[in-house]
Amino acid sequence: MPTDDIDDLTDGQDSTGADGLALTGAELRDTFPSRRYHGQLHERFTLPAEPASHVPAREVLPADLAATLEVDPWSHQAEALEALSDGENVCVATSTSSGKTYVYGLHVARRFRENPDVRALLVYPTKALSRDQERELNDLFDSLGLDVTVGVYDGDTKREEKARIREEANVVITNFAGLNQYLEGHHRWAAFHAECELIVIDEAHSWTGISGMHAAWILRRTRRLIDWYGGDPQYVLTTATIGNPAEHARALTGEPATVIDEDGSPSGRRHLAFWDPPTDGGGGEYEDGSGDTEWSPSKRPATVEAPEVWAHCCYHGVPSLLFCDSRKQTELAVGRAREYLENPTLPYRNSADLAAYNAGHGKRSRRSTENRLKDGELDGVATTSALEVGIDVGGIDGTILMGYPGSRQSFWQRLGRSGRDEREALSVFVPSHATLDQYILRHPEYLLEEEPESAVVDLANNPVYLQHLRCAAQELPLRREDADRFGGIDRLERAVEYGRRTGDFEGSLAGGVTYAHRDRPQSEINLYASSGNAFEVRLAGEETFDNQAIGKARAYRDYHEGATVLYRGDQYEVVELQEDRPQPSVTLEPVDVDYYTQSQRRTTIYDTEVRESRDVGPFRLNWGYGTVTVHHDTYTKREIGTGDVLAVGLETGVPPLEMRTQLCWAEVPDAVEQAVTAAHSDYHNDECEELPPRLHGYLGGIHAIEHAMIAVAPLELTVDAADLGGLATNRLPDGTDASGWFIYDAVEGGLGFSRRIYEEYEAVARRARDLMTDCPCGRDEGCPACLMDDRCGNDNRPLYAPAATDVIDALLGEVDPAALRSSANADPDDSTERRPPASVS
Amino acid sequence: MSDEDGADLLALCCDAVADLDDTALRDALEYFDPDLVYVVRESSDVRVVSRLRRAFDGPVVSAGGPADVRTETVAGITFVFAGSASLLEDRPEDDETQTAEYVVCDDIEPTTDAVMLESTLAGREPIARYQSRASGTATVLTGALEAGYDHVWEPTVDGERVTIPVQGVAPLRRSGAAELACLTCDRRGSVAVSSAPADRFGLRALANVGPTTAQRLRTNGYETRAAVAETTEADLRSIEGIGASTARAIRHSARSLAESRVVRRTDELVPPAAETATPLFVDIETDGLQSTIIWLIGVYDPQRDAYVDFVDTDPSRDEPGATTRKFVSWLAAEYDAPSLVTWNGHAFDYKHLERFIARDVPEFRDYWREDVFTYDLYDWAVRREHAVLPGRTNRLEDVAEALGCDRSGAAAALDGKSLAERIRRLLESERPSGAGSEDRAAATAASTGTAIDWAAAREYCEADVRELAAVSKAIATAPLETDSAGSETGGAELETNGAEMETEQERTTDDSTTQTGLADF
Repeated sequence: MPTDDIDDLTDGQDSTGADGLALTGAELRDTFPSRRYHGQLHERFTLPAEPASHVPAREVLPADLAATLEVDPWSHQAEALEALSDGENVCVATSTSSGKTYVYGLHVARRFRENPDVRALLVYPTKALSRDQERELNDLFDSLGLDVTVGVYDGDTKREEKARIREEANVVITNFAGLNQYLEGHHRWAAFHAECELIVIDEAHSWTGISGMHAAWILRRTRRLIDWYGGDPQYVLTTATIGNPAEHARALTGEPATVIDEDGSPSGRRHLAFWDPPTDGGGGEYEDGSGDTEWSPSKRPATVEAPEVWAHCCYHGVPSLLFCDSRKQTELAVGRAREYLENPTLPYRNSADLAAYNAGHGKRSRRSTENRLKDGELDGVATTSALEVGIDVGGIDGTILMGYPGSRQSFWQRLGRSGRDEREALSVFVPSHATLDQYILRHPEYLLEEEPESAVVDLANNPVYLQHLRCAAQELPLRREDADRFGGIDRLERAVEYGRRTGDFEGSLAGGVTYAHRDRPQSEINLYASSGNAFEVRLAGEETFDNQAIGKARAYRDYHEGATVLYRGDQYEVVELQEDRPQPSVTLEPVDVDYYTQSQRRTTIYDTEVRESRDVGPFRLNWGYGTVTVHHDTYTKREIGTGDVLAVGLETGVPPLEMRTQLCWAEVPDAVEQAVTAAHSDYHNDECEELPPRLHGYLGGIHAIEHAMIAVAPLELTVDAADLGGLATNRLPDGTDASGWFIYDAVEGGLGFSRRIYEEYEAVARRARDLMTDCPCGRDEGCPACLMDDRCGNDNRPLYAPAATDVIDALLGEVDPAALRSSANADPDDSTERRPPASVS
Repeated sequence: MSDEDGADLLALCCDAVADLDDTALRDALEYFDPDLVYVVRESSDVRVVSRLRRAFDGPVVSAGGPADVRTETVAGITFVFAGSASLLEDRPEDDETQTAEYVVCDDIEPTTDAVMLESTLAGREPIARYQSRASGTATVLTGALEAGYDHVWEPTVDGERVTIPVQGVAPLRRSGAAELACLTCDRRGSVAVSSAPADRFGLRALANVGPTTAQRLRTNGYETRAAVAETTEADLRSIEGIGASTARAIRHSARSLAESRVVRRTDELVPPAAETATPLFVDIETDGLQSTIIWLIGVYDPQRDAYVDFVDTDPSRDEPGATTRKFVSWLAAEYDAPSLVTWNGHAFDYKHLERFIARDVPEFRDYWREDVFTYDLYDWAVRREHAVLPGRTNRLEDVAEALGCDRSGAAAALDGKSLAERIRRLLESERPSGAGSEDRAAATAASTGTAIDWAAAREYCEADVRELAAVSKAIATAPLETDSAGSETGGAELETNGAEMETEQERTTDDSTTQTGLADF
């Protein structure tokens, strides 16, 4: 029960002492101003404390080294070190701040004592993290009294330093983009390669999808060159918890790894609260959207609610971080929080010291904020993902999440920023109106009990494979012995023959296949795009922008003229998309508007080729390749925060994009189709004039399934839903009479996601069904949180959940089609009516 | 030997030559001296074609325009030009097209599907049918592919396996100007390619002269390079838009080209710079740009006037470092602190030597790193802009030829690329592997190529090394230009107008120098 405001007011400065947490979940609710509390506290959980589990240092390290160590290693560190000394590769999949650096740091230290020429290659995700690591490792080696040299070698390294680092550094820290380029000059790394004993890949879970493909091939090229010079390194991968660490390690490196996932580091008790923003106007019903296809949620946006919760926590002695999506959000949040505390109708007497923190602030400003946090001078900081990893932020007791960050790994990472070591901590999740957020709100077991998402790295994409083969051939001629590492002999031979025909390769595998041109194929590699035709991103009036090019599919989808994009947390509008030149480009101008844009796509699929199939219930499920034509011809403008539609049907001006890619599709058996059609033949959507009326229900059903399955896919796989697409159709293109729906990888050559969905079809379908039935909107036609997809080229119609659930039930074998049929009005003319083809995407 | 000469076909693309004024066009035609000019279909422009017809008195065949079939015989070689591949089918048996050595048709190109790793040759059916009726297998040239493309296709047409050798002729797309290609086509269907950047003719051949500057020079009465060479720096400077250093650079390069001599721009000592050091001129031969083996190393000591070479006449992948080992151990025995001089060594020779020393001759690694000094004359002269070299390009053989060095005999008939090719095939033939289609193609190619004449190869390498010595001498003895005031700053970036080397990879001066100890010259 919310307490009476005036009597129980606690002064914000009154902390319950250095050791105690000032507010638990229940206390958060109890102290919240009653006029603002409308039942937001949805759920409360208490995660128990975990004690540390140490292993005496001398059990894993040589005696004198163990003696210089200040603290005994945790059990997972010890386990990893043992596996390494047994000659194994290791994949450490424990939480953040569990000291993963020490695993490879100590291994290098002990190897150094045997061989001062030992070398190790560390691959980090970003340049900033690289330099943090350099400091941390130098500190470690200093404390051990060892003369191990560490050097960062990347685009920011000074020219004069580069030769010295190559020649002398024991530990070289770089990133994948840099590594890709440096391989071309491998002769300069001869000594390093010959003595290389360790390759470390940090944050390995982030290398998934397209970037994962590139990372995997770059690692293979690296290993091949190291082998040539005589090196034979082991691998250490560090990763957040994912569902398939062993598989992922193997996909990235090509070798097996021992997974260490029992975390020996300590953590304090954590209170986790799910705080659902109330409806606007308090306690009202949702707007009835009957007859219209627009449905706007009238809940308070998370962007307004979350800063207030944050302010409240900070005020009450829980120093907290508020995690926002963009730089602008952090600034807005601080403003809102301050306004909230200054609101005279609310019982706050003083203010709290709050600050924003993001990459847009200069280095000095950020250091100052970090220090103030550490010294306890700040009560709270609103930040972007900039503070998700890395620096120690001292006594933070609370983390507020404004919206779901997109993956479990990120969710726990953010939570983990509060409550270091054994301190008790509070975390509050404030969901936005987006589909995933709402799903998690209603299914907390997803976060707390279930297996984390699986990382997906698909080496089957041929265009990417070819790009890296060109690089490999340029680095050293390709020979038969390279086949194991590069796709197997059949694939390599086909690729070589392809390259000879197109003029990229010369020679044969027997004698050595070389790259036939004089340019550097390494420069063609863009870690975030699948093949050539990358678009340069330019700022109006200037040259390039961070050298980060984007793929064509993404350019058409998100960077058409008129689109607004978030780049490094700032907002821009695309003023030009230029394709006629040799180097296509998009040009951005900074803007500050209150809407975001989203393009719709129209899809056609044909020329399908089945590579595998299986039966799911009475359905036939296929996986293979197909030609997908996607046309992002229109876009909408939506208000930030509420999602209200401001303008619709605007033209993008981009042409259709045709690609050959991987996809999976379900064929609906006749009996099911007829039964469901009949059962829902009464449903009509007046806006679907082009479709035969009695099919609205059935087509609405399979259309809804396609949307829902794509929407829930990120719950299973580390996929961005934008990298998937779908199409539901009354007549599949392969000549059968069946209807069904496709899910495809929206990248030329495929990404491996449709493949995974094919493999986990039942699970994904079940989740999709849950999404539909659990949504509080209660609408048959769905809402943006469950069935509606902002990108739907058909304006989200027809969508019809009751038919969808029937079809899924049939798929999962939970209902007999005959039972469905009998509940409908039998129409004797059913079977004789000829069904016209109709596709809805 | 005259049989080997063949016909020279210059292939042009209208957009690559549209910018050339008449002087430049004539200069290009004079430089390549073709027997025949072919204008590819892409971006074909009738105005450019008619300019070409006016400028060139040999046949000019344009692929643009209405499709027809036309034959030309030049230097004893017959070319059939087909505007469309289908026109080749069903020609009468006694038609002159049936005995052609070359078929030129821009319809011929690969269709590709990278996702499926599949590629087929468009136009293969009509070509195959034409071939089955014609005598002999004509080589197919196509303007749809760049010069340098060289692949033997073996599709199945009408149930039969056919062989279609395809060569590209189109200009090479580069980051700067396109490179025009001239193909020497011999009687047996073999093609040798030489190329030069399209913007290096007429006044544009001069350093620092782009289209605007060329126009300015013309406006001020300078129509030819000779005219620029004869004028003074002050006169050039007086032209609007040409500053002091540009005027100097232009004049140096004009004199260098016109008088076929080296023009020194600075008084920096020619490498090796130290008084007591004597240069050893070095050149290596490998099996290609990304080599797996160094099989021939030539060294010339001008002080002893002695040429020595190290060759492996039984090269094998099991011992790719054999020649390197012989060379380095000899070097260490004879010289305490040798100064090696190469042409573009930083990008090629030293890069590969280091690799092989590191892996196969590790006992000499320290000697190599600490006692051997490595210099690159090309880098010094061209990249660091200490001298202007005569010759249309900065390739060693072009510079040497412009300075009057003559190659004769066996050394004249070889070129580095084809030599590397032959070595590669020799290496392949030591492995009798399974019958994959690419192996069969390799075997076919190997059988049509000639065996290696080791004596000729050694002569070729010696010629290279001696030319290097001669160029070095020419540079050292060239007087400093009186017009230039003081030295230029060294260490500049690659000349943006500089022509590219056959063996050079495009790179910035981040490419580190490997000498230790000795100060920068």
